[in-house]
Amino acid sequence: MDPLTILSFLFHLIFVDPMTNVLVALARVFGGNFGVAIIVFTLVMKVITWPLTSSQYKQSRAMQAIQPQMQELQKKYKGKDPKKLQAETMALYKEAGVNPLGCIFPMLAQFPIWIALYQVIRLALGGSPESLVTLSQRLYPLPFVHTAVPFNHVLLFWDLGQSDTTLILPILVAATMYVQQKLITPTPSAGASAQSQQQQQTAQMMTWMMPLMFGFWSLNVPAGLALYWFVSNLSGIVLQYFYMGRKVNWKSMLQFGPATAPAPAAKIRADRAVEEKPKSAKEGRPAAAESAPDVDSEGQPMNALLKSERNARRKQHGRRRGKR
Amino acid sequence: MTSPAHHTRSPRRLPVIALAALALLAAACGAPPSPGGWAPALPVKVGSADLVLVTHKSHVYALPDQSSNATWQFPPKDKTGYPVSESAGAALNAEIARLNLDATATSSLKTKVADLHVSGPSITALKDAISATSASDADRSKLKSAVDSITKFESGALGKIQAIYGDIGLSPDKKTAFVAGFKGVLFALDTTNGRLRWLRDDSPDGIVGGIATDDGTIYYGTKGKHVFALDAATGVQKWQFNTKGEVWATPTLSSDTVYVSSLDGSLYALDKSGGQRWRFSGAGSGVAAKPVVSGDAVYIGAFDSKLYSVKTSDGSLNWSLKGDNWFWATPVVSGGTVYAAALDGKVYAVDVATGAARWDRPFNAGEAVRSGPVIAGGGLIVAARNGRVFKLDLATGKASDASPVVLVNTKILADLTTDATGKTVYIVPDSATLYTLDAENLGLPGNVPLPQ
Repeated sequence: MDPLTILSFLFHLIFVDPMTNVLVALARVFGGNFGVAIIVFTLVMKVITWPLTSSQYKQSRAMQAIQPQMQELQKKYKGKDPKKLQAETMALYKEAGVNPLGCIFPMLAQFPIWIALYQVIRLALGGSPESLVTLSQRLYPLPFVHTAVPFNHVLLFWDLGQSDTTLILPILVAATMYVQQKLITPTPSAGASAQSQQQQQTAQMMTWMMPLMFGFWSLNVPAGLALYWFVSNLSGIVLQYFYMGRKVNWKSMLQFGPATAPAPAAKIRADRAVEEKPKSAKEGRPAAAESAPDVDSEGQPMNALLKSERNARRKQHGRRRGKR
Repeated sequence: MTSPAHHTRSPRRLPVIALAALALLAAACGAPPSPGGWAPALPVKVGSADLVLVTHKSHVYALPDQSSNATWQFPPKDKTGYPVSESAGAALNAEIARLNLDATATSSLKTKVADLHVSGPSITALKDAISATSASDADRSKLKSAVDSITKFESGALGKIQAIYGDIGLSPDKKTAFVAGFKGVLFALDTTNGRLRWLRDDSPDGIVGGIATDDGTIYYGTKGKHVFALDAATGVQKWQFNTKGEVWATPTLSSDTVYVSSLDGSLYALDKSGGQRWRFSGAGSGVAAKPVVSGDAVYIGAFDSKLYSVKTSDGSLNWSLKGDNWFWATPVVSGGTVYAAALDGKVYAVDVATGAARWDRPFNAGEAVRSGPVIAGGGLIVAARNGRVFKLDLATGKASDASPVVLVNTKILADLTTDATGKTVYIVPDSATLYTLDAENLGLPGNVPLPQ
C-alpha cells in the first residue's frame, strides 16, 4: 500500500468518517435538514476549538503589544549586529510569551476540518447517486445514522450541495472574515520603522486578502462549506467581541489602508524605555516586559485581560529571577 | 547565513504560506465528482440488426453485437449540431402551412426545415428563406421567432443531459428508445438511426430513474417529487402525480398498475390514469430501488437496510428482511425465491412467501453491491462495486469455481442485463466500456470500448 493511500485512509478514519456520522446524526435530529446540522456542527466545533482560538487572540494581542520593543531592537541592531538582533528578538518573544507560530497554528489546525467537511458535503449533498453509495460505506453501523437518508439539502434559498450562485454567501463569508481579521490585526502606525511598517503592511494585506480568497472559494465550493465559514466567522466575531471586553473600535473596520496619524503614545513610551530604563536580563536589550506600554500601537488602551496576563508573567519571571 | 530581517519577517509570511498550502489542498480536493451515470445496457433488435444500447455519461451508443463501431450515437458527433427533433420539425411545418403560401414557397421552406439543425448555418438559411416569402411581416417575424425558440431550446436542453442513470425505455414496436438525463432532460430516439423524435426538459428537477413504457404511454419519476405519464409519440404530458419525496427509481408496470418507489419511504401504487390505489409507507427510510412484481407481491429494497414484500392488492406488508446496509439493487425473483443484493456486500436469498432464508448464510461479495443481479447460465450473476463478478449457485449461494471474474480498475454500479438468449451478460462499468460475459462458463469477458 502506497503512503498516499495510507494517509488517505487515516485522514478518513480520523476526520472524514467521524464528521460524516456526526453531521448525519445532527441532520437526523433536526428533521433531516443538513443546513441546520452544519450550523450546529460549526458552533460545536467553535466551542471545541476555543482553546486554540483564544490562544490565537492572545498571541495576536501580545504580538501587538511588543511592536514598540521590536522597532527599537531593529533600530539598534539593524545592519550592525544581525546575530544579536535575532537573539534579542527571540528573547523578546520568549519574555512576552509570544510564539511567532501562535497565530498560525489555530488556522492550520482547522485545515483538516475544512477539507473533511468539504468531502462530507460532497458525499452527503453532492447530489450524484454515486456519492450516496460511497456515503453508505462511511456510515457507522448504527440504525440512527443509517436511516437518516435522504437529507433536505436546502436551507433558505441555498442548495448546500451546489455552489451559491446568488453570491450572498460568498459576500457574507468575505465580509465576516474581513471583520474578524480586522479585529485580530493591529492597525499599522506611521511612526513605525520601515521594517516594522513592512511587517504591518503584510498583516494589513492579510485583512483583505483572506476575505477575498475565502469569498472566491465560496463561489466555487458547495454552499454548505461556505455556510460553515460564515457561521464560524460570525461566531468568532461574537466571541472576540466579548473576549476583548466589548471594546471594539467598529469605526476602524472602515480603515482600509495604513494609518496616517502617528501613534505618539506608543512610540514615545517605547523610546523612553530604551533611553531611560536600565538594561535588564541581558545587556543591550530593552526590558521588554517592564517597558511594554499600556497602550497599543494606536494609542488605545490595551485590554484588561492582556495586561493581567502580562502582569502574571512578570511576576512569574520575577520569581524565576529571584530563585536564580 | 540567514539574515535577521528574514527571521523577524517570517512570522508575517507564515499566513501567506498557510493560505497557499490551503489553496493547494483545496485544489487537491478537486471539484465534486460529476455524475457518471449507471444505466444498464439494453439489447434491442432493430429490423434485422441486433443492437445493444449503452450509455456513458451524456451519450447513448447503439452498438452492433460485440463491436465498438456504433451504428449511431446520440448526441451525434456532428460539430455543427444535430437535426432538430421530429416533433419540432412538425411544429414548424404546421406554422408554415398556416401562412397559405404558394406550393413552391411552402416546399422550399419545408426542405429547409428538414435540414434544420439546432445550431449552425441551417438556421440562417431557413430564416433567409422565410424573409423571401410573401407572408406578412408579422407572420414572418413569428415564424423566425419559432425557429429561434426551437433551436435554442433543443440545443440548450441536450447540453444539460450530464449523465444517464435509469433504464432506457423501449416502445413496444422497438422503434423508439426513451432516455432520461440526470439534469431532467428526457428524449425519444429513433432506434434505427438515433434521430431525435422529441424531447422534454423537466429541469431543474433531475431524473435518476428510468422510463417504463407500455402501449402509447411512458412513465417516469423525478427528483422534483413528481411522477409523469407522457404520450410516447409526442412527449405531451397526460398526467402528473405528486409524491412526498424524490423519485429515484424506474417505475414498474404490472397489469394496470404503476408502482413507484420514493425517497419519502413509500411505495405508491397508481392506476394508469394517475390515481393512487394505495401507498405503503412502512419503510423506515428512503426507497430508491426499483420495485419488482411477482405473483401477488411487490418487492422493494430501502435505505433502512430492509427488503420488503408488500401485497399488490392493498399495499399491506407480507414480511421484511433486515440486512447490514441499504438495499438499492433491483431484486430478482425466480423459482419461489427472492434474490436481493445490498450495499453491505451480501446477497440474500429468501422465500417469496415467508421471507425465510434459502441459503445457510448470505453470500458475501466483500464489497458493496449496487448492481441488480441477473439469473443467467443457470446461476445468479452478481457484480460487486469493485469490479468482481460472481456466479452463484441458485440453491446454495456458493460461488462457482470460475468466480470471481475481475474487471480491473472499474466500478460496477449499473444493473446487469442479458441478451435475448440469456447466455450473455452485459456489464456497464464506470469506464467507457461494455463488457460481455459468457454466463455459462464465465471466463475472459468481451471488452467493447465505447466510441470516444
